[in-house]
Amino acid sequence: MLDAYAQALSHLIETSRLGVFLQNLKNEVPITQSLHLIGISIVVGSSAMIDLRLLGLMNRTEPAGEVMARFMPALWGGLGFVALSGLVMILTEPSRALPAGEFQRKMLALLAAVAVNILLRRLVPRHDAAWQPRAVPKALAVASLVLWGFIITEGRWIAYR
Amino acid sequence: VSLYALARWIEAQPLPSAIRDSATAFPWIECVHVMSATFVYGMLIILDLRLLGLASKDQPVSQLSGRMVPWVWGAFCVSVITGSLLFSQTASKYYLNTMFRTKMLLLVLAGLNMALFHLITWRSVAAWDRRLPPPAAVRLAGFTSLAFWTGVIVVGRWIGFTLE
Repeated sequence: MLDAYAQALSHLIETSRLGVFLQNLKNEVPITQSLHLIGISIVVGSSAMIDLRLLGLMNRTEPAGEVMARFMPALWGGLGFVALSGLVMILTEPSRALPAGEFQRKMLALLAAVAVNILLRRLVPRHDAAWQPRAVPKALAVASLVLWGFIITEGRWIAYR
Repeated sequence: VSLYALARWIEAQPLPSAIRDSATAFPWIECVHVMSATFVYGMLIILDLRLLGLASKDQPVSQLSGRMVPWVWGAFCVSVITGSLLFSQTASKYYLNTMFRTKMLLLVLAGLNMALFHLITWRSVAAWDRRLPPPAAVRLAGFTSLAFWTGVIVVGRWIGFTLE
């Protein structure tokens, strides 16, 4: 059912004027993938700064809330950039991504990673210098790092179907 | 012995041959390569933006870099090991590939930039640790680092589109 829907949608995009336009742009695929990779690096770097601080593995002397306030905007901005370049990749080669289990799992993991980071933002107090993370924020920090790793892995495997 | 002959010798070794013959080894190693590379590049973006005086402005440069550098080196080692494994399985093809050669050149340039920064500019770090904007030499080092590493990532992605 989902498969049939994904294939129909792929066909619709592939034959649309925008789809055809993107398919005919020279070097569009490597350029978009490069931009996608730069965006992923921004997400991974800023998210790792937050998560490693929460885990007490980096930057222990700075309040967690301040580290978070510093890097959350980059995390969301980078993610927006990744989503945009990802959308262009889908519009160019929809049948490569949409019906792929790797892609579908990647999108579910992305939703989970976003939820984990929103939750973290709510759990960590902004202006409490003495606050130290306990089990739940630490577990969420691990989940965040693992989810980004999983998302990268599934993303790379789309190319090997 | 030519470098090409060396590349042919490398790819004939047992481990490279095993990676080449496996259906899943290359993608899995590549996943770890991408994870460690995006980690290194993401961290360096943060550090370079600080050197440029554009972000993390309330952090002294020495403090920020002191915290990040061990993680960056660790991830860089993972990237080099996984990258070498990817290279080894068809070493001669990579050796002849222009994008691969460009990436190696950019890596050398990024390394030289870092070495010069540490040997010369870093000696006076106490004087500009908190200064905003940082001195021109510091900003230049941040800019060139960002340019070289961005090049490494982009050209690296391009290798996959030009092999064969």
